[in-house]
Amino acid sequence: MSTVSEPRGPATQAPRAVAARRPRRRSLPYALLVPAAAAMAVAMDYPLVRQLVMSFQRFGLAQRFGAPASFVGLDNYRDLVTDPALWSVVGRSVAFCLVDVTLTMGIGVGVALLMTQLAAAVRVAVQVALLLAWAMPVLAALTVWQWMFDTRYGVVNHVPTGLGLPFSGHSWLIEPLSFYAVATVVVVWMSVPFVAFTTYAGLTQVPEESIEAATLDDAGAWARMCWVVLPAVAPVLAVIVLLQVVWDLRVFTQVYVLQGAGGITSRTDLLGTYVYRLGIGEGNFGASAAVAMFLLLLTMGLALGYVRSMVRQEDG
Amino acid sequence: MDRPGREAATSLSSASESPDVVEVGNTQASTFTAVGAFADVTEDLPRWGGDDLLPGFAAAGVSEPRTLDEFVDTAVRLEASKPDDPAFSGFYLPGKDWRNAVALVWANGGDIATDKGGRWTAQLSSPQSQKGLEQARTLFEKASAAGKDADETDPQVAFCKNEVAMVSAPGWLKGVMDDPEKGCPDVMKNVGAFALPGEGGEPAPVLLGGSDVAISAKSQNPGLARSLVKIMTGEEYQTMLGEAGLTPARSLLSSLLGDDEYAKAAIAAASNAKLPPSAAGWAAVEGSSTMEDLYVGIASGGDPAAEAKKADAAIDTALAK
Repeated sequence: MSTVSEPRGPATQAPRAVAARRPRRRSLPYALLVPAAAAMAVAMDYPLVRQLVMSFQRFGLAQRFGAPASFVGLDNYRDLVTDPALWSVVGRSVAFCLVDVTLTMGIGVGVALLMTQLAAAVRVAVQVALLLAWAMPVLAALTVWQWMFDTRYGVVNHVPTGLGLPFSGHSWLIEPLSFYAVATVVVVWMSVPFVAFTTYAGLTQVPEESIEAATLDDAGAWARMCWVVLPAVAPVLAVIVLLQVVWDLRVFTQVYVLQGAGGITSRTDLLGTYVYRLGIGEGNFGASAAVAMFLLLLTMGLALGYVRSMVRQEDG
Repeated sequence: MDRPGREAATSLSSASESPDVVEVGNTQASTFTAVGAFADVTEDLPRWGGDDLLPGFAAAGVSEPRTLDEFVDTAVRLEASKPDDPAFSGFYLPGKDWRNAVALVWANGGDIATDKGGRWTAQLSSPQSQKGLEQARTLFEKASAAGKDADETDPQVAFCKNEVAMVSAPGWLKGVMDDPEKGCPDVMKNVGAFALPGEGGEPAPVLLGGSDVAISAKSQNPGLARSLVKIMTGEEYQTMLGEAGLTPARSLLSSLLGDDEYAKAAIAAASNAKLPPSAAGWAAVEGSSTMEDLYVGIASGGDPAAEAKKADAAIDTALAK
């Protein structure tokens, strides 16, 4: 293997040692990368390129069955930008994403902090419960949530009605705000376990000495958390927030299934279901591809800040 | 064979993935035909009609309605006959059930969209259509306890709990309700059927909901596919369908339905049945849930004229393509 054979010195010395060895060709690492890169290119790059091309074409159902697709330049994008329906969908999606990420992070980090304080047996019980919630297939979980919120027979209506409150036959999905509240409950319920586990793993790595030192300096629990613990797990939290933002911005399954259970479709669409409805629902694949590209740019824009600060941290 | 939903386009367009024979709903067939998804055949199709079922009439002192106005009136009176039961429906009409509610629009002479010289124009705002939508609103408000945004699946659940006086459904619902596991044969003893009456006493135009059988243009076994379709439209298979309550494709075989009141109601309903606009873009209207949103909007208290205007705009855009 053509790797550096000297024992590793301190980090500052390694660049000089490598520089001395630079003349030797290192093709093996690149060769090892080729299969993974090829798989990624086929699975991710090809659909992306295809989608980009399709967003500049007029591509409908006829084109799926062989009719040639015509290039229409920026027409699809122009139609979208001037369509008020799209902007209300974008607004709703961003708002939904912000609310959900905030709730998920708040509850997830809270649960992780709680887990550090629990006795081992209780902690295991909590972890098992979180794991079951996370491992449950999305559609199976959604079916149960639908039954719980069912207008006529759901338990969420049944219990308050039994207590005398006027919830008989209350439809939870028909008002858009109420619809989003139900969707938020389901999405947060499904996302908290991942945040809790990952944050807990990060928390176990916080050095005991720092916390002891803070306690010796008379720092209260809240100050300890803000100034010692959270900064120590900040890289972990940054990654999780980035992932949650990306996932919650393009949430599809939960909204789509809940729309099938009730509510007014046009007023409850978020970006994920909007792309689906334009494309597979209405057969307007060109417009759907344009919205998908727009969603990609939006996600990249939101993630850019985080990625840059993460890269800066790695170098620093 | 395969049963496509909206994802049909994906498998039908690929020769290696395409099923040989597919079953599509009547309402999707025109779109897929227009884009050349199907091979050219002129076979015939199983159809259903709309029946109405009616227990509990005697208790409420109403008789079988003969005109559409009487029908709406009967539904309201049946609902009023059980004021203490908030879950009881005089006529069970979920908010998303446009396929049954559109019969009211058609019975009044209105339509979803009409074709004038090759151009489709949405007609839900016309006075006749508006009358049908107003009747739907009356039913939603005063006769139905079904969810305002619920869909039309599983009406037998409410029916078997004796919470429904009348429901409009395809013929196979009787088969479901007669089944001892899924339905309630005991309740069915008090149930009868009549075709939805139109203005002037004739059967109302109900949605010809049904199944079309098509051969994929990219099928890799066209000969076998044709044989399969021949079997499906043959007498033996159609007899099996008829005995289960489905209206057979070939009119010669309609006698297979029998001659109980369900059969008579189904035949009468099918006699005047209508299809949604046979425009190439109709599947896009269904894909965007425009009709569901229209009726859910009316069911939740919206103004039929305003909701119809929104739906018309969406339909015009979709059918113009």
